[in-house]
Amino acid sequence: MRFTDQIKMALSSLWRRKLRSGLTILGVVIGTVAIVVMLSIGIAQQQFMEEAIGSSRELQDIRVYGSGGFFGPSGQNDKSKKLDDKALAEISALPHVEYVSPLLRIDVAFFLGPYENVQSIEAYSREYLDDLSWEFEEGSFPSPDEYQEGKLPLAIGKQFNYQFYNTKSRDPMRGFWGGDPDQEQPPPDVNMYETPVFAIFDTQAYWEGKFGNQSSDEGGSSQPVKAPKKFLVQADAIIAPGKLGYSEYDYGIYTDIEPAKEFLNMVFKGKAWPNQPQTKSGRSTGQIIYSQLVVKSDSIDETMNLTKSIQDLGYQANSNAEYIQQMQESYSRTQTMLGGIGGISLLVATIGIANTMMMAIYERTKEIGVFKVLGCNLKTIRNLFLLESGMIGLIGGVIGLGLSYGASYLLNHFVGQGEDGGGMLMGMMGGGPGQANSIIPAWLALMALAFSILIGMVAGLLPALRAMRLSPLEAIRTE
Amino acid sequence: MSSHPTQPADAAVSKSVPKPQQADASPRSINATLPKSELPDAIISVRDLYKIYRVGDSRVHALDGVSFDIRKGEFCVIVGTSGSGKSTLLNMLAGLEPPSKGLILINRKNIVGLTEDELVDFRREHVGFVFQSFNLVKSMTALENVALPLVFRGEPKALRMKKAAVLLHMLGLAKHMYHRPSEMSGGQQQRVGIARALVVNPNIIFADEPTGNLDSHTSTETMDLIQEISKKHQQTIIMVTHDDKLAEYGDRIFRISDGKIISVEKGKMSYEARTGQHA
Repeated sequence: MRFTDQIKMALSSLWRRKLRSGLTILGVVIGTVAIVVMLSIGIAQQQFMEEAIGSSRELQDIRVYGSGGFFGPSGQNDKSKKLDDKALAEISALPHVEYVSPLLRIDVAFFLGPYENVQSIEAYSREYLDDLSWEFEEGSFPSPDEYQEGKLPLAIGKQFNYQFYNTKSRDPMRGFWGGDPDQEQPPPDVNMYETPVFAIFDTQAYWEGKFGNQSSDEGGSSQPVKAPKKFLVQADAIIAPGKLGYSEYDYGIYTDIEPAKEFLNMVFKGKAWPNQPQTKSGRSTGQIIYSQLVVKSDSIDETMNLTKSIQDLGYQANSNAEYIQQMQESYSRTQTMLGGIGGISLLVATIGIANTMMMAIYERTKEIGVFKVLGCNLKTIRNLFLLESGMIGLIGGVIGLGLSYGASYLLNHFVGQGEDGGGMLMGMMGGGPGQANSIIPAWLALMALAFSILIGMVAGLLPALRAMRLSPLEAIRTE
Repeated sequence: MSSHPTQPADAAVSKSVPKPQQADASPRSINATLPKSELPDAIISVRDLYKIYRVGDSRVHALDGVSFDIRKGEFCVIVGTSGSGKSTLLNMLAGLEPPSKGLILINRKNIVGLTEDELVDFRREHVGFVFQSFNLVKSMTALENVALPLVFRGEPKALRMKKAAVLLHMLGLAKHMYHRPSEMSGGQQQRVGIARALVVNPNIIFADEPTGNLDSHTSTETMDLIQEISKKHQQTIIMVTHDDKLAEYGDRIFRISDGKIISVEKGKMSYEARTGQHA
């Protein structure tokens, strides 16, 4: 029997019992919608997480800390290793290292008029900065040929300017913890991109000048402290936030470490830089202790192993890869749970198909007998019923998938898109504003179709085998 | 319980009645061991056919050693009362039921012991069927019903529809081609059934009480039609009936009682008798 004839026959059998076929298909539709929509929500969450964490490039980054961890090098703990150029060379020699960039945090007090902002400039290697492939909202970061002597190349985040606070204001701390745009505070009249601001690099002297030297206060004599030298600095570029509307660079200020070293040498003129090793007379030893080292592995797969190797050398090191792996495990658990809920409805649909096919065989026992007597192969009979049940699955799957796209659209456009950004659904699920609640990737659509056909066939298998084994003689005697 | 080996009845059955597999142990040597056929051009040869049912502890001989030959183009009628074994015999000839013992040669090929798949193939290629209750597929038109056996043969749609239409025209059902069984009379339905049997151009047509559900007038018409087909197309037909009068249409009548052929007669209403022509 030709395959096209088999398909036609299976379809006409379904059409003969429109209501019953329709109800069975409805079961599959509900099951498919349940499983696809549930999984699409899980996928949307995962995608949100991946976007929030950043590009895949960041999964290759490993952060190496000195003994003081986040709080800068102390150099007093003998057990830990110092993050100096020796350490940099040691880590660079490890396999699967693409490059190692130092991170030097330079504490600076910026001020202009009554506005003040104390921050750390993060100085990275040019290689690392290039690798970040920033997009700029304003200006651009100068290339090495464009560096000017005595000038610090600087890129600031979009929110950096908002961190200036008015020291004359009643609430001087207002806005200090970062310019949250939601607090509707007027932006300070400082724009480091448009106009230069003053910067004091000798922060120790700055604080002493500002709040007075504690030790000298106790001594009773208030010797005037020599005012630290001010420098004019200006940002070359404002880093554009990504498509999410924000990025991890929003509040930061960045520079290239090579011009930064030259600049600091110029500022301190042979004196030790703040928080750096010094001789007894306060001169620089020439050694620089970095705040962090950023190691880039040559592939995402090697990140975890490389982190381990660095830790084995005696450094503290961690990477996003570790964190993401944990997150992914947690999200895949959520997805499994959501999929399980959908799976139950699909299971019920499967039972529905099996029931329908069983009924069809009881009803058509005589017809099956006639088919056999007229010379229809046993396999063909089995295939006819498998096709019929597979078709129930397919039709249900197609309709269900269509409805799932509809449901996904509704979820994305009418749920959780309130004015406050993240709405109820994503608020509950841990999402953010502007983020899709439900994503149906092509693989999910295809998988849903394949799966619905499969469950149709599985459900139809026993009834089909039963039909195949019916004795033709008994079947034609059935009235 | 009933199959317990110590029970005497079981032992008796297994001794006196070898299983079909044993009878079929050497199918290729069958022709050598076969008693010489009475008819050299036999299309069907049956030898020592037994069918024994076990009802509780007792044995019922539905067929008790039947042997006969049927020539190509012959219209044979098997007649007997209810329970005489006539339907069992027909079912065995058609490969719908396995015999307990014996040989059935169709076109010199033994069909006893074939698998169900092989039997399906055999029926599809060699056999046409006419049923008492027509057994048309209710959801299909007359044309589709007639074309159905060709569907199973994998013939293309255009060809099978053409063949079916030709036969329906021949049997005077041109007007009813697109009617469903429920829209036709019993006689018309049976003619569709006959067309369906003829469409594959079979070696043998088996008809099981083809007029059993028809009134006497339509029965006569149907019998005339079957007889005509037999002669015009040199078609071998084996019909089973309990009606002595209808049996007279056959070229030969096998009268069967208690599983045995008790007589073989010539039909008084046979084509030869009615027209004086030799078939």
